[in-house]
Amino acid sequence: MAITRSRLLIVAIALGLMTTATGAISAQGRRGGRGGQPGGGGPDVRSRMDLLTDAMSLTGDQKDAVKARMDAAHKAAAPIRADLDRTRAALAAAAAKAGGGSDIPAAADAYGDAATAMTELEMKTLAEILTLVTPEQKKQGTAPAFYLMRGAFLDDKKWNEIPKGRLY
Amino acid sequence: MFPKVLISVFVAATVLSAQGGGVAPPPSGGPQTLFEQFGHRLDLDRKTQFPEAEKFFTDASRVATPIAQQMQQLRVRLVNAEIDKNDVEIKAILPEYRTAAAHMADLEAQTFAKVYALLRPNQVNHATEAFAIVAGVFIPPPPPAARVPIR
Repeated sequence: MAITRSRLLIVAIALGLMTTATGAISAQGRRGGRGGQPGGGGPDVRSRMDLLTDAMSLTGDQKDAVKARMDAAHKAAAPIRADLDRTRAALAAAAAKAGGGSDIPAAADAYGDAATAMTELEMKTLAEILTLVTPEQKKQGTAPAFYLMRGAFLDDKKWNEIPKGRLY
Repeated sequence: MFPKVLISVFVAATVLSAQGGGVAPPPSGGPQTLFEQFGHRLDLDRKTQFPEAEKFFTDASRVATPIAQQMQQLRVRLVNAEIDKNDVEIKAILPEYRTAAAHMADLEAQTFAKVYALLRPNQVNHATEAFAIVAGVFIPPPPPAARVPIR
């Protein structure tokens, strides 16, 4: 049962990726602010919640439930965000040291710990969201939701705007 | 075990995104690439430092491709394990992910160190901020809303 569900999810993600990969690919490297703002360019943008709603055709009740989980995860992410900032700065300092950066591996390990914690939170939250929707909704929206989770909780103030120009 | 099509998509997405994130010039009038933002933050000289730094990132993007693939695959496995509430699998995945993430961070830092070595004293003030800009530069991000047509 569990194996079947896992395979279904993987296949759904694979199929979804085939249709969303172009967007993801084109997106990379052009992270910026909202449309019309410095660093943004292009048309105006919709919120992460709007995109999740469209991707999965969420009902009103489902939207409320998804929002509640995203809010909770964003709050839980606060210490991880701080760890990412701290370890990233330490990694930059290690790289900047004269002599080739022998401190880099240890600093990279510390950053890897924080990145893993954030990834775990993102994927746990996605899994929770996927339990809220029907199989049809899951099939339709798993791939976009998978991508939309990456970096969702990096901003101190909100998870709903994408992107602010940061990943990890 | 892992569907070949999925791996293929990951490979394509990773390679192309790394190119877009690291080196590809923007279309006329478009927003800056991450690398351009990075170069601008460091005030890299367009004729001398910029091309050299760009080559460092291009070279690193090739090394990063299998790492990024692995990280994406592990994220998929992690979602499945979370859905199944398979704690054994989750505990097996997380150390793998941690190793891959540290490897990627190491690569980013080593690349940054090469660029840093090019800098003049008056260019290092914003080094930490510049390094933050290229966090995850070799990993495919979620599609930004800018790619979604407005209805």
